[in-house]
Amino acid sequence: MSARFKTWRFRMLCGVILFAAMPIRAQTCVSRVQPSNPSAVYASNAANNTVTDTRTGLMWDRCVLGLSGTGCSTGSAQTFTWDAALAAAGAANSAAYKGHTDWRVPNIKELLSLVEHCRFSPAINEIVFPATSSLKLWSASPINLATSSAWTVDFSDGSGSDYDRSNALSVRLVRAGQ
Amino acid sequence: MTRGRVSIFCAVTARFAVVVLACFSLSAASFAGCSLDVDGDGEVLATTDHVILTRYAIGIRGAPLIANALGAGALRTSAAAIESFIAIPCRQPGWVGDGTGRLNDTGITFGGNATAGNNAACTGANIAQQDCSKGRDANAVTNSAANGKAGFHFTKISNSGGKLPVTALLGSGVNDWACTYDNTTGLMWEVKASSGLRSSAHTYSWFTSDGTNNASGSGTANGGMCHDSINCDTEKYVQAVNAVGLCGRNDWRMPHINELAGLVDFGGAPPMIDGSFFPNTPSASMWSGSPYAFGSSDAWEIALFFGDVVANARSVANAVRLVRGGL
Repeated sequence: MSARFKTWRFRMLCGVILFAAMPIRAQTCVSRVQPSNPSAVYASNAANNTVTDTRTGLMWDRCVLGLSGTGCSTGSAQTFTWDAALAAAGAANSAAYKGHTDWRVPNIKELLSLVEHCRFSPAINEIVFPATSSLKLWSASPINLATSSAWTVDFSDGSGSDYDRSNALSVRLVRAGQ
Repeated sequence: MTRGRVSIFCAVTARFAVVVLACFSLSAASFAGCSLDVDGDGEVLATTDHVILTRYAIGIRGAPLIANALGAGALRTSAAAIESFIAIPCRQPGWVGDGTGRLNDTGITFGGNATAGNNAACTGANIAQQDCSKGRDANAVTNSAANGKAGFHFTKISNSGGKLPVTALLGSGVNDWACTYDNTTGLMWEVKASSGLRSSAHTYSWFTSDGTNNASGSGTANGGMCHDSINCDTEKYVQAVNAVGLCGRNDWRMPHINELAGLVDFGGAPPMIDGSFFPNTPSASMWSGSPYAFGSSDAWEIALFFGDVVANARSVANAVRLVRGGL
């Protein structure tokens, strides 16, 4: 193996290490679990306090409905029955919430994509989505085998299960990415 | 990757060159996802990672691959874990890995009433805001039944890795159907068989020797019932399928829980999947490769009778469906 070859490989490997070491504000993960949603995959939209997942193309509201601010520390989280949650998304569109008229309550697969599996309580990237409670959020997806339930994701650990539509849960709006 | 750049290395270690050059030919956005830290100790060293990669490039596998070549702080300490890692050197960050990142729709084409009851069609309370009114399932351009139920878009793949028409049948011949490619997510999935190594009746406990992603626990080795009596856990099943080169590939892996959830047809009956493209699917729980952060003895599964995404003990014997990225 020539000396020139060895030198070039070393320079390329240095490039890998340097790039990997570029500082990105990281969330706290449980030891020995890879993050599902590291901060680097999200693009922050400062103008309207939304966040885009650059892989799925989904644009998320930074806070659940009722909270606002970059730290989601203003206001208090609203809760809705499943039907009222759907209506709230419709109302947001009528009001051109944050300049958009195509918000929706996420479907169950979209909501599951928000889960950060390397942590719990809450199982979400809290750097990107601050002040997220460890409670369930509604999806827009009804369940076929339990006709009075709809799908939810429990952000204490990220599990997806059915929950009665009469319960009052928070909502995080999403748009695009479909 | 141009021919000229490959020729610099071809006299030495051809496949190692492909690994390194493939990483550097990707866009900057994915650059950080190419790692040469094969033993997971946080460093890329000539005496460890380089040695292992060179051995891998000339075909060495198993114990000789890693002999005297692991770093002091290595978290991947088995040949199995390291071979799996090297097979997929470049990944997008997070759960997307080597898929496209685009999400499947849910398969839900029915609507629900406000508090109780579902309807056969997309009618119901605030229907414009319900799942069935949005996405690929609701779009006439993308919900053709010819290539998968509702908004799903699948292509059958042969044992030799080629695309097949929708009429192709399962079998063991080179041009028989054995895998299904999901055009939306960019993932190729194993199709279970009625017998043999990949029988739908086989079960596996959850086990990994990759210390970088195990929540500080290995799980249970050989706790299922499968094609033999000693290899019935998820890590060994991955090795076995790669050894036979399913659909012409040997970079099969366990799916992330989000990838497994992406395949679920939430509008269907158990086993909650499009049976035209995924026959022989048991109405049972299926393991993902994702460890559970809340408890090091658990991992994520999907209960295919209902579609629940839950954690379960790693000792439990579940069904498995392997995945890989790309065509």
